[in-house]
Amino acid sequence: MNKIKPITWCALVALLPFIFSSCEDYLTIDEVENRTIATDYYDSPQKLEQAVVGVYVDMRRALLHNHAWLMYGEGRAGDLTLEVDMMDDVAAQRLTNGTLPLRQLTDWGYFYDAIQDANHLLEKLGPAKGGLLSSYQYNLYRGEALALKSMAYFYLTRIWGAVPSAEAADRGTLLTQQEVLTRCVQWAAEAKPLLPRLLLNDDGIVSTALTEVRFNKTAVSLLLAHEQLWLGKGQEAYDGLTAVFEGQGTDSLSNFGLSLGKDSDPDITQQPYNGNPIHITKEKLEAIYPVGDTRRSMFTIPATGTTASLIIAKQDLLMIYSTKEINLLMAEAAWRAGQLEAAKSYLTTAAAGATENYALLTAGATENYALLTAGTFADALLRERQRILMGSGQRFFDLIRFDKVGQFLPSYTEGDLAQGAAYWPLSAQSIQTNGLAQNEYWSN
Amino acid sequence: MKAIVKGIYFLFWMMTIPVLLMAQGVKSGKVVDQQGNAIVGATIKVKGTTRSAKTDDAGVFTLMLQQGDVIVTSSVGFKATERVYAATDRLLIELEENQSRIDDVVVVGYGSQTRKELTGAVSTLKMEEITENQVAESFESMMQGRVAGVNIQLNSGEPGATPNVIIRGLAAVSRDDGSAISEPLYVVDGVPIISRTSDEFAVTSTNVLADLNPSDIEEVTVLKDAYAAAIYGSRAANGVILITTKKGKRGKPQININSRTGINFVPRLLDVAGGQKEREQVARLYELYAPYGVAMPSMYTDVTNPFYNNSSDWQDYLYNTAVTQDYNASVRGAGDFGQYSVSLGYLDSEGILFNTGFKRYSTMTNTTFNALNNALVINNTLALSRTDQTRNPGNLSTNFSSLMPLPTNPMVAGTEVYGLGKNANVNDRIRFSSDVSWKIVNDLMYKVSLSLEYTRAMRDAFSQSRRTLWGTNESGVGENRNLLFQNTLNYTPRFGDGHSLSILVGQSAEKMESKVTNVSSVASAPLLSTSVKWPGENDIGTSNYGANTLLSYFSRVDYSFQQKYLLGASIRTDGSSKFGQANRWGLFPSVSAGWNFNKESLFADWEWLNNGKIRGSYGLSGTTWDENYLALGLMDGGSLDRYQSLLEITYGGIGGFTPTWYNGFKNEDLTWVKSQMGNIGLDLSLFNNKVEVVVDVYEKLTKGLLLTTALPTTSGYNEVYRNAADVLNRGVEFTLNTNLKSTRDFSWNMGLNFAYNKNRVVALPDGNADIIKISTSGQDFGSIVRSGAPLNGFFFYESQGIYQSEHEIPVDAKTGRRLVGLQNKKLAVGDRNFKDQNDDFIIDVDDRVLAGDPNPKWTGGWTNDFYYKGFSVNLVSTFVIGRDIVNTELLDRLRFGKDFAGTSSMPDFDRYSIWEKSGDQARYPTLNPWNDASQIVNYDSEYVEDGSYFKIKSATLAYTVPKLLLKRIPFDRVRVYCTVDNLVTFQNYSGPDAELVTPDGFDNSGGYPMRRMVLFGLSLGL
Repeated sequence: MNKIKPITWCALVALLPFIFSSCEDYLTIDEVENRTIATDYYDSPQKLEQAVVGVYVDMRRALLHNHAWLMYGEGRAGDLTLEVDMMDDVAAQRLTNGTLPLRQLTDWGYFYDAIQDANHLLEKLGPAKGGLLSSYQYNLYRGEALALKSMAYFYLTRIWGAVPSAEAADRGTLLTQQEVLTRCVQWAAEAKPLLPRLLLNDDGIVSTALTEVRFNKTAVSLLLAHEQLWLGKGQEAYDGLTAVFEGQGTDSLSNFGLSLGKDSDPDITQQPYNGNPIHITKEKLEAIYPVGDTRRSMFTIPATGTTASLIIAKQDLLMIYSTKEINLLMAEAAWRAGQLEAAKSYLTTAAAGATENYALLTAGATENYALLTAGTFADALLRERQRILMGSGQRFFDLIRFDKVGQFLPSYTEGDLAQGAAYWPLSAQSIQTNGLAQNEYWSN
Repeated sequence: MKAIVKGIYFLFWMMTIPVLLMAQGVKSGKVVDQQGNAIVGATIKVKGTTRSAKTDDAGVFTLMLQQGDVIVTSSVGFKATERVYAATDRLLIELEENQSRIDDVVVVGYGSQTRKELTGAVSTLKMEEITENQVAESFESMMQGRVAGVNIQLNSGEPGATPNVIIRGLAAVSRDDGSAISEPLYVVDGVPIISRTSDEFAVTSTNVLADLNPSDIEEVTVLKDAYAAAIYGSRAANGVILITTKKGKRGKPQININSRTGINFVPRLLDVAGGQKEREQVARLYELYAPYGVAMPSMYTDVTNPFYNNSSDWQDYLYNTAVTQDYNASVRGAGDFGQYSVSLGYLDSEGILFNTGFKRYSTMTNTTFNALNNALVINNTLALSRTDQTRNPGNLSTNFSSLMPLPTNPMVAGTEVYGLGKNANVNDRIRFSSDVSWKIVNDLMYKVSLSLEYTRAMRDAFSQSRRTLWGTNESGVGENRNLLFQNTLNYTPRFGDGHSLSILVGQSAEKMESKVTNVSSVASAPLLSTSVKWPGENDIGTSNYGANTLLSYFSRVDYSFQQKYLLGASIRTDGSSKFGQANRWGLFPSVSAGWNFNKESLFADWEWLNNGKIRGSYGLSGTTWDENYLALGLMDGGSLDRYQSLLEITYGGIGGFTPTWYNGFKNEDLTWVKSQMGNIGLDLSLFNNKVEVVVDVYEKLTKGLLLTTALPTTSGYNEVYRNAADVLNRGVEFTLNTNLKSTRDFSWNMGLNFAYNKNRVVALPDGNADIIKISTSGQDFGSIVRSGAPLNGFFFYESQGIYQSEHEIPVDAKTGRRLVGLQNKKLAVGDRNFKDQNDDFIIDVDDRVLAGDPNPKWTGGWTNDFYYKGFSVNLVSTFVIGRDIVNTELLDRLRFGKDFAGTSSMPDFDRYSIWEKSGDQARYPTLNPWNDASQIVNYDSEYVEDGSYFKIKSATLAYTVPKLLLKRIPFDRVRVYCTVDNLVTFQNYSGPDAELVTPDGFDNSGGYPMRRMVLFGLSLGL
């Protein structure tokens, strides 16, 4: 090799920085103009609150698509009907019929969307504590995320029974209903002290409108009590409810429902009540609400025809936990805790209809619940739950909890129910992608 | 003492030189080629002496010669000659062109090598002869059938459409998946160029490479195996195509003008039932199938209806003979200062279909300056081009009912076929690159290059509804910018007894940016305008931006011992911004070895063996995908509605945001798609280089192809992108070139190449479970990726004929239920009898079986060139053997909905075997337009046809005017020629053209057949 002149060496050395000037930074694209990468997104309380709202929207999707809340509840129980194609199939328990809306109802995707998003939010909230968020905001958002997750799993297990976990630690593991409920109780219990009775708006002023559509202490307490009652823990439920509600004035209580509004998913109806009245046959109406029961005013009863329609007082809300349910749950908790007298008292109060939503309901039920015995209490309570909560989507779940599915839906035999007939079939996609087997009843 | 010696020395020479001069004189001569053209820069040596000379621009040399000297004349590209000098000789030395390409220098990645020393599988193609005879919108289509293992399919007849180029088998999953790019990397003069636009940023559908004027291309090199390609690392797995543009050559300036005009003829068109026949067919369908009370439109029944008696031949009206014009001019030259090359091109290719066509304007300049005694070479290239593929708004259908009057009919005078307006598609490209090579010392060369490339695609569409007179305007601009900075250092020492080494180290940094802006508006009649007006209310525009960077370091070492034993190794590491921090860098190594065995003494006696080489290579290369941010977890900002405005989510008066990722579940583990390729090759040159044989055997295992796989719904997402599929391509390539010369005037060159490739999926995740993509409704067909089956294999329903009677429809003995057809149809007589593979008494996606393979097994080409005096005949043919295709073209025309009457043309039913009644031995099931579910489905194994074809792609007759006749005109070279393009196709396929098919095997002719062109050309050289 020829001898290289010193000047050439200098030039070569000068070149080296050129060659190695490019460094790792070069590979980080920072001009993502119209794209947002997850790691950098949550930089303000507003964005975190938007994400909280996103979880509510997921829950709303889960309960609104194809009128799911009604189909999983009074629709399947045969109490209420809607003029939609799948209604006959649902009411007749033909849940594996191959129509698209029914197939969609057998899919649990939206509930898991809500869980996924709640977990995503919980992960993002951690670093924001104490910095980005005030302690009120942190507690509220965390409480909401936990409560929403608890609620989503609670729906899942009530609809499908055993369902897979979507938690990072054991994703995909099939959990028994007992296991699901135990977790639900933990999350709801964790959320309960975090959530205020009444929420503040942006100006720091108490807002009843806001409280009504977001998880508040009333709602999370009712959720927790429900879950405890499913687990058969009546005493715990009773203690919890008493601690929250005993001696509370109505000002500190609030309904909780999902606010109806715009959704980017075109399949989600924005006005579920509009143009599609929820009917009840007059025959059924008479059977449930005897003449004299003032709750008949919840319906528009035309003089002619065979059906009446449910009046929806608040068209912009999908009611989940009404304050009307407090006394019902207190009654149930007391009863399951062995305190029949207290239970009867709560039931009587509940049946008297002392709620603000239905102004006319002062007389309530025609029955005298003071005469109930341990043997008759359950039926009366179930009947009152049916009457008061009509349209809230809880009826079928109540039948399962009270073990009365076979009684009200005689087409199911004991054997059917033992095979899981009370739960919904799994969708083909759930089976395929989760490696699950169809529920024993529905696989036949 | 010194002075005395000097004096004696001087005297000696003074006395000797005159003596020598008497015996040998200074002679001048000329070196020419066989056509009589001067050869510039040829070397003339006197054997055994140091006397030598070089020819000047006129091919003239002067040299001191004496009687009996042996003159050796040589020049690159010519066979060296020896002759004994006789004083009486007229010193005109004619050199014969060297047909053997063994001493050629071949361009490889970041450098060049002599063919003798190549150890990779590399094919080169001289474009000069091809571009002089043929006209094409893009150079890829001209390469068709010329390179073994490179399968090029023109899948549409429309001028400016994008051909598919697949090198050594498909290794990409199409149908909306991230890694659908199976395209090779294109590199022009050492700079990777923008060769396609990702779907996200595509504005026009014009072939991006059509803006390179093929006439500017000197040579195309295809790097096929891992060793040749792996130096391009993460983008090399599908092969690399290196394009070398024409440069100036030493000698007098060359001015070339090539002008040609082609006439495009309409090929065979679709059969159409016209007039009365259409009426009869419509009436027949109504008679057979119409439900009670449904009546035919009156134009089919009412003889007084003005349309009743029409029999319009829409195809005849819309397809017309068209003209293609192509003009190219260039000036090129070179000298001690450097070289220059300037070229201009204009192509206007009218389409045979009404109002379609393609235009290209292109210019390219390339200049090189030598400085510092040639130690510094500065090279600049600037290329500008514009392509224009303007056409009608809407699609290019010619499928109109023959009862509809043609626009020439006075009844409908003034109307237009495709609605008012136009759809302008204009692409621009600017490419500038500048490089400096510095010879630091002998054998050590440093090169730095910077290149900038900018492409812009513009679409301006205006269409007006004739009914409402509303005008719709759409305007879109898509831009791509590439900035590339490369540094290489090349050290090529030779030492000892024939050891030579070539060491390359280099670095490159590339940034690619894309931007797109689309706006649209609808204007009512008073505002009718071809520009987009911005209304006050809704957002009407969208824009998008994406960028990625690629940082690479690479090195290659080649060692050769006496050009006999060859070894090579290369390594490249690429870092890309497309991946998460952990998976950013990919390593792509390769090794190779070669043995020129003919140089062994064992073969010394084998005179017929001019060259023989065995070579082998193994290495890793990669593939990347379009999405810039796939692995980064982009937040989804919501979706747009059909008016392109954002639908907000609101909840309790607050704007919501469901925290989801844009591309589905975020997968930070996404990584490079890597291909392992092994190659063994044999190169032979036989019988005085008259026969050349190249054989290659390869195996390419592509690992981790990107696929979306279904996620458990519990994840909150339906799909996730994963490096999911492994695909194996195995094949053999064979090339035979012969050049035979029987007399001085006649010669015949033949080139035959063919390649066999077998493609199959070898591994899938989750225990090789099928990856099934089904639409959400569960009824539409998706694709199946199955281990052991070929990619894009046809998973179809297996046809067992047609149900001729009710009792043929299977009944489940257990339940008493009858077999349920596709889309839950209640099956009836005349419906397609599909096999219920899993005996579950319902025909659904689970009943699909592998019914065909759209990947061609054999591809190849056969070229023949005959030369006789000034005449030449050139034939190029291509073939594909062993490929299945689906005749969707016909199926689409046989599928009738209930509003079929009058909406489209009908095929002539007499030509097809269609079921009408029990007992009909038909191929096609009932056409019942009122059927619950049409029985004409694409995924019916019945319609899988043999897609093999043999096509004479072009035939050229040319005449080069002899020099003698040119004396009186100022041209060096005059050549006239006539080429017939797309001459004839032999195929079994019953559809229009077995070549016009998508890579996944569905007929893509879409009403645009391939024209047959007769081209007349004149080429002049000054």
